[in-house]
Amino acid sequence: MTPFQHYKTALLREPVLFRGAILLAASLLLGLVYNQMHPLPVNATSGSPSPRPVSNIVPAHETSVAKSSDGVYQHEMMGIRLVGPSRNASPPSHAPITQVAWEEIRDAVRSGGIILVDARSRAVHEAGHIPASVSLPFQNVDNEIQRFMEQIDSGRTIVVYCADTNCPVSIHLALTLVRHGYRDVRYMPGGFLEWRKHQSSAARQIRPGE
Amino acid sequence: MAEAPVVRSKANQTGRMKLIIDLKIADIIRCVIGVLLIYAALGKLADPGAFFLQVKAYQFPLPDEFLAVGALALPWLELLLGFLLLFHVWTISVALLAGALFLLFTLVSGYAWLAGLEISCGCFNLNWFGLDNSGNAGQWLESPAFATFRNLLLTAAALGCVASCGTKVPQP
Repeated sequence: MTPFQHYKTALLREPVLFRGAILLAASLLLGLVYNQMHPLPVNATSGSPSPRPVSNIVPAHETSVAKSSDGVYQHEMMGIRLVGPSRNASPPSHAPITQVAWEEIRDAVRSGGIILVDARSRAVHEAGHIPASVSLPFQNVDNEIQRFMEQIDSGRTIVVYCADTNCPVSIHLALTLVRHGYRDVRYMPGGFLEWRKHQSSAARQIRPGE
Repeated sequence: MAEAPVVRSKANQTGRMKLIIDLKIADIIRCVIGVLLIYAALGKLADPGAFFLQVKAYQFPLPDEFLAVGALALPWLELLLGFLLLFHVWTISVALLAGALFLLFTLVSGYAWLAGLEISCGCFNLNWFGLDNSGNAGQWLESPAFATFRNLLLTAAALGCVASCGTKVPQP
């Protein structure tokens, strides 16, 4: 028997498809169970918000935030009614590039007081991003900065984010924006992951009917 | 008359050496593939949601639900294949399946490369080695171009593992 015939016989004797089907079924089952237990699960049914072009960002005074008689701001976002005290998140001008946490800027982002800038690549941004954030990929910043500058006033408060704490791109983009004349630029080191963790914990806190 | 046993002895020695080297190389390849699969799986399992987004970033014309099922099952399949390879269980089948998986990865990363997508391939969590996926080294290691060649190499290694790990060709 030649080596080729030997291999052929050995492979034909091997129940590859059967074992493959067992492994695939086990993987799927484990994946589904694990996803139910994980704090950062896959959520395909809710989907990601569609990408929002820069031109669609509206100034704070034109957003749908409604101020009730008791001075409390109410806002509908992603089907969740958000209620919170009025906050003015505008920092002093010419501030150094400081770090911010999602908790600090959350209300200001929702009210349109802050422009969130996503420094990750366009494809990653389109796959999932913080709602209302603007895509300005650091990889392509030289080509896109002009368009960004035409649409975002240099006096606006900007917070740059990327993937997570291990991602240095946000601070680099923040520095680039400062060099292009933006006076109030900050960055969120926790990035998209920090936002997702907050979304995840918020989803656990909100029960149906509440 | 006295030379014949010496020649036979040398031939036997060479054959044994070859077998040991073959066995060791085959075992090393099998263990390396196993460890790589486990490492890749653990990185994805740490944040399933982020892995789903990385899969979505490939912009396949497929429904999200289908991609989600794939993103949920893939890390576990990698983990199971990795452990089975490492512990030498069902080696021929598992190495063949790993080869098929790597071939699929080659096609997927090749597609992203040819489409010019500036994405991270989502293959490994480099943070565990002190590299970040967005730094220069991380971007290069996770780029679709590099991933295509790496996956091609892993496909060849897995098929080599099928040939050498599982089937012992009888010596004539």
